[in-house]
Amino acid sequence: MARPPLSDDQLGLLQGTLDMLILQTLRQGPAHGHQIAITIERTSNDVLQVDHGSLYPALHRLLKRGWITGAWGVSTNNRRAKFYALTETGRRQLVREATKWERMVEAVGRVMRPADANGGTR
Amino acid sequence: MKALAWLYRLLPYLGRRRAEEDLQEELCLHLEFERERQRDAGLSADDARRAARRKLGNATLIRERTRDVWGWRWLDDLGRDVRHAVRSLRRNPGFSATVVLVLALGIGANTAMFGVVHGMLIRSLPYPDGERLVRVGKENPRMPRGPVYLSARMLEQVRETAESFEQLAAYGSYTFSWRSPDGARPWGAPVSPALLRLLGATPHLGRLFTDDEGQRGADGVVLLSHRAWTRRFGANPDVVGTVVDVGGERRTVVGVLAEGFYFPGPREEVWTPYVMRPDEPTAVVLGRLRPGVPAAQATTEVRAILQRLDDAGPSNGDASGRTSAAAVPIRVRTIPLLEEMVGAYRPALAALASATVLVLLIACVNVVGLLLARGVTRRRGLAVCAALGAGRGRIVRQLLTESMLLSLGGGVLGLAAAAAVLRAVPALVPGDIVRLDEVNVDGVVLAFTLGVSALVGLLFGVAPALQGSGSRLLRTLVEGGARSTGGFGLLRANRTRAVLAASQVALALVLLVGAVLLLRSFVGLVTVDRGYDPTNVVTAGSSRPYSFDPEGATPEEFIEEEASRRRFYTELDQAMVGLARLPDVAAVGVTSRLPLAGSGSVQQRVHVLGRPPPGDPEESPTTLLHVASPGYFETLRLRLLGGRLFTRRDGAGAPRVLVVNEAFAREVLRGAPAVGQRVRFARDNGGDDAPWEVIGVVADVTYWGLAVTGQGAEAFAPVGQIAAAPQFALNFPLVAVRTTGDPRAAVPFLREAVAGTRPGAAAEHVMTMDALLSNAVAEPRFYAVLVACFAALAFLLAACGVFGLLSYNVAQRRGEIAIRMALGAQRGDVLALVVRQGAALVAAGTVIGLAGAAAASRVLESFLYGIAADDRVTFVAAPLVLVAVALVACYVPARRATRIAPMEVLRFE
Repeated sequence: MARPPLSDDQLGLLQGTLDMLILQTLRQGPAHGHQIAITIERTSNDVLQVDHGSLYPALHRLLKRGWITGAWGVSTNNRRAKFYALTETGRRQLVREATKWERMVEAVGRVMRPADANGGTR
Repeated sequence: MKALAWLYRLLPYLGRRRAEEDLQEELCLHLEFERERQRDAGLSADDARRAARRKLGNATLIRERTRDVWGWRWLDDLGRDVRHAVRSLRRNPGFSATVVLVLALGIGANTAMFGVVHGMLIRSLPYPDGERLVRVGKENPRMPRGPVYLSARMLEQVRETAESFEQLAAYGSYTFSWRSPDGARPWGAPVSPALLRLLGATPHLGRLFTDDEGQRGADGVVLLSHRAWTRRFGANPDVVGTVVDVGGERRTVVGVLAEGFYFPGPREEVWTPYVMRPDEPTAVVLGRLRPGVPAAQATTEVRAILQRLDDAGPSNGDASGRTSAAAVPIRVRTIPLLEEMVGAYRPALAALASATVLVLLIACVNVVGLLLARGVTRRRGLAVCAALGAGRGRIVRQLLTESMLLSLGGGVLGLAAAAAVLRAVPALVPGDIVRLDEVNVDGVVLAFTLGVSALVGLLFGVAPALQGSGSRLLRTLVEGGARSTGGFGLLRANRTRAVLAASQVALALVLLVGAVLLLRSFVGLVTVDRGYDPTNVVTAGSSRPYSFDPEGATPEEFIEEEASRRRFYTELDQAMVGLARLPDVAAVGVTSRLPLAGSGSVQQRVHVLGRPPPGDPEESPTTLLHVASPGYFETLRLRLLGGRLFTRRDGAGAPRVLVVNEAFAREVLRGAPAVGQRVRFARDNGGDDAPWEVIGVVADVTYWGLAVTGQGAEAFAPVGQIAAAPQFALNFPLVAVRTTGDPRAAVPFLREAVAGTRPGAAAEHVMTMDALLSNAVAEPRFYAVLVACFAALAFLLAACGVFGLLSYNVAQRRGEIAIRMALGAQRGDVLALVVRQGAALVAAGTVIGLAGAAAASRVLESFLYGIAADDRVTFVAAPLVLVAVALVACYVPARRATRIAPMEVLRFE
């Protein structure tokens, strides 16, 4: 099945960032899978596109590591859904990942800036 | 922590179905949410559904990737491996069955052996804190490393001052037989009231002994074992309070102990109170060490206590302690009760366990050979797998799964066989072996079997797996179906398998040598000239009513008791003379000494008249002294070497005479002509100074089943002169009857004759000498038969191994042989070609095996009687037999090779 192609101003997620984004999303409170995907997309003004297919393996990976918990509940429109919530270790992990991410962005930015100054082409 | 992690990893499997359903539902809901969102964005229902589907992607793939996250993949793979392995094994049912059977033999033998070793030697005793129970006591200075005892006074002192022990209690060093209501003569043992508490005994009926009942005069009570109660008293609920005759005394039954309690061995069925002697160190003392106290510490402490007691005055401790005893240091030992009870079986069990391990090794090697042979035929299939992308690890795993499956199959079958064997063992094994009936298949044995199976599976699976996964695998595909020509030499072409076959031969030879040694030793044991003829002889002990209490007896009573004891011999002699007149009776004898029966007697110091007495009386020669009726020598057919035997004229009034054995002539008379010598016995055993004349010399006799050598000096006095003889150690006179036909026919007459001597007298332990002899050698016979069975098994496996290898080789080399034959090789040449290769293999195995056997047979040394561990006949005969059988195993495939029709083969290739 073909995936909808990304438009020019949409970005696929970098490897490994999905876990961090899920944790970040859950910081605001428990959410089910669909909510998480939509929240990420909306928060990034639809720039980041979550591959819904990767979402569930990622969620189960986080479950297994004990960073989130999952429980069946009822959604706002009165529908059954599995809600994921951040655990204390998950919260700590998020801090770690966020720090790592910031350092990475900074480092990558530092590498990329000279190229921008020279009028690098796209 | 680790266990928790495991649990966590395992948990998902338990709810696997649940998790799958959850995921499925979650994905459906996700689709729904997305569809609604798209509809809200203005899409039509159909478009919304399609868009949602597109967005989610391949649901099956998602599920698979999620499952990967769960970590269930290896389980799936394992399931696939197992299914695949089962299919592959089912395709070769003959092969699989052979492997499983061979392994079942090896694993089963080891499981059974481990069950016995674990049940007897390792598992703690069925007493509270049994691992802390020790026997403690002091050695008799005259018997280094002998049994250790304490006197009542010593025990009291140790109990009061020693801090190493929680509890201490004593029991008698002897057991007794008693007459039960069903007419049998079961065994019993004297135990102190404290001992039953120490051992945690509980009554099933009635009560245990009270402390008062451990005192002289109050000890007329008895406890029954549960077994005695059910077997001999019909499980009578009112048995408590009844009076039974035990050891010639009337005792009141005060209780029945709980089922399963035994002490000191499995055969004792009743217990009487043990009354300790204050000054003689004759009590066996058991103690429970305090937790954490090592036995060595207890030994030191007890030694110090006994030393203090000894210093305080000789009269306080050991009554036999003379002034000279002070110079001898007190030697104390503590022996773990487990060691005390089963330590004697340790060497035999170790030897048998080694034999079973050898059998398992051979089985493994055999199976490796089979697997390797099969591996070659499977190469193509595996090569296809490899070509299709199966990694080396994957193929190794597949092959290992197969071998594991085989070994577990062997393990399960072996366990079933072992369980059956263990159930039958108590009936198969001779004699009363302590704890043998405690042997069973429990969790530990189960774990052992599982562990051994896994180990074995790994062991024999690795080689074929590596061979099957090598980088040359793909070449197999390239070479296509071309049959390997197999190289010129067997050893080059199939080196691994040749080594395997040779090592089977070697291992089998080790076992075979062991078995032949044991069998030869056993045959020697049975056929050795014992100095007497046991066929057609029935023997019995004779008991008389006995109510003598040595503790409170007056000197007159002592003298009367001694006289009565001696009179009983005379009465028996007269009664037996009557028996001799029966038509089928060839001879009858009364004696205090019979081979295979009775206990030892007291050593008498003896002085040969006409020689200067030694300075120290302790240095004069000693002899055992027995009595014998004139018929005794003829009944046993002892060989007279010189002089004459007793006649009826050698009575009370006649000159005192002795018949002596060869050892007496050698050791006491120092080779001087024996007949006519006159000797005198030392006075300290109640003898007088009157001399005895040696009138005859008889051949030495092997009294016990095993000890072939080491007979000491012995002398016989005639029954008619028993009154003059020094004190005898034997309470029980023995009678023997030789018949012309079946000796059992004489049993009723024998019983009648003994019973007729005086009221209450009875014949007991009535046995034919053949039966006694058979019992005496039952243990070595059992070991020999068992090891022989193992050896036969090993032998068979090794022969199969050689046979299989050569058959396979011949099949592999059909083309080559066909060419040779086409070029003019005769059948004899082909035969020689194959047999030569087999012979090289067998020769190599034999040489290695002989070296191994030479080393291993030393283990057996203590089980061999009359032959050396490096017995030359064995070391020639065993390899010869093995080589002969191995050559037959070579010959059959060789014959098959000669039947190859060259043209047919060459055309086909």
